[in-house]
Amino acid sequence: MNRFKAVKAAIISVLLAALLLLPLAACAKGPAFYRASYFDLFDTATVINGWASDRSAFDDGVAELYACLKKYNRLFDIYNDYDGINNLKTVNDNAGGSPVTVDSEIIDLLSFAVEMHGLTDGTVNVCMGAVLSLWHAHRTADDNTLPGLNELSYASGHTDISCLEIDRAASTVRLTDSEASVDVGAVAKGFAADLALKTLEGTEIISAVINLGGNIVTYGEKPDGTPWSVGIQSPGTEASLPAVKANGISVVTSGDYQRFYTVDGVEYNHIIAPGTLFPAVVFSQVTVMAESSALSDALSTALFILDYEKGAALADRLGVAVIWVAKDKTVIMNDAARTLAGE
Amino acid sequence: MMLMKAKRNKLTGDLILISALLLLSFAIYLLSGFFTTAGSSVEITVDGEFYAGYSLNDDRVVKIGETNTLVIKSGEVYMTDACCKNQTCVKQGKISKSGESIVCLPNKIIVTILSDSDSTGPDAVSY
Repeated sequence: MNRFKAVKAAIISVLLAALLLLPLAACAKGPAFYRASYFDLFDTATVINGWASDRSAFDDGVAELYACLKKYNRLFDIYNDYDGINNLKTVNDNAGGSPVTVDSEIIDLLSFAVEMHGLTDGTVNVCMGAVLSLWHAHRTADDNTLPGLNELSYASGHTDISCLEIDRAASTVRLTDSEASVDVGAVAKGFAADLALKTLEGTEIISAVINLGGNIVTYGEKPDGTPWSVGIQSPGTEASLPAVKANGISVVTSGDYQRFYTVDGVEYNHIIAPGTLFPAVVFSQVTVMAESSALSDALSTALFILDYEKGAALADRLGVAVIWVAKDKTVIMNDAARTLAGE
Repeated sequence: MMLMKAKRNKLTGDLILISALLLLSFAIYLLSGFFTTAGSSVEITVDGEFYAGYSLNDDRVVKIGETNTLVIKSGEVYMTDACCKNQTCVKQGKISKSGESIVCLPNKIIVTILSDSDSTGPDAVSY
């Protein structure tokens, strides 16, 4: 009987212990999840979600990432001067003058932009500054007016990509047309995101997803082994757009709901088509998914401007995944996008 | 005989106790699951710090500091007022789906809809 009691006691003890320990299993020691956000980079919000062994490891890694992004933000800035550096504003200020000595990252960015100009038949044109600055001025002014057709037309005469001279050997850039200017809005964030990912390799951050104003890049793999899942903000579609598996993939979206302004009841978005010199009107939103964030960024702009047939052909040629949302909110995905969405 | 009966009563008592404990723990497990998956929530951060969190299902007007006014209504979230000139967050309109966000850059506010369970929400949302 004593033995029977002892066995019973043992069973009860084990059960009680198991009950107590059950919730603790969830707290097993492993990498912990942290978040950081910045509001002074590329005129947008940057959110970094990631895993590291502890808070200080994460903070140190994020500090390196921030320093890197801060540097590129300054280099690629066309509005502000910074002491001791030649940035793209310096290049624009010296248009028509002598070559400007710049960092290799500016050479790389502009070379990439010229390459994109070729790939997209001029749809992505980094020398559109003269036209884009007119739209920027009117969009940010108080009186809600459109740029005049005459001034747009005049400015478009100073947007030839060939006026951009890049001398890699001398590390200089020169705009040969004194009225031309560069605007890297279509490529800078993606290009910087790619470079930022490389800095993470030297840190103790185990894995992370960086949201640079809607440009998403992922680093490493999630501790639980599931793929990174990246959603796409709905531009007014009835159902959610699919989330895509994004390990090693950058997801970049261009939408008409960002940075638009309204004149006489008509919304004008910030993506200007070189052909019409007016905002692109074909789609509400275009999302591009490719390994390179710079490519995703440039192509999301290009495909937002190009009609579906031309855009789809370009996407197939380059092997990138695309989700288009038409003005009437019809969703079109190419095969590559369906694969990433698991469909 | 009496001894046997006492023993059996004791055994029955133990079984009841064990069953009750198991039921209780299962109930706690279910309840905790219920409370964390009761519906999507709206998280507001200011300069990266948690500011407030609300259920997406409860209609309310939220004053965020002195600068912004957020409305949660019928499962949709939108900014109705912002002190800044560009009004980007107000013009952005309504969000309603897990992971979507509204950003007010000048006031460092991010409003995000969090999914009803960790397993279904995306890790980030492109916009």
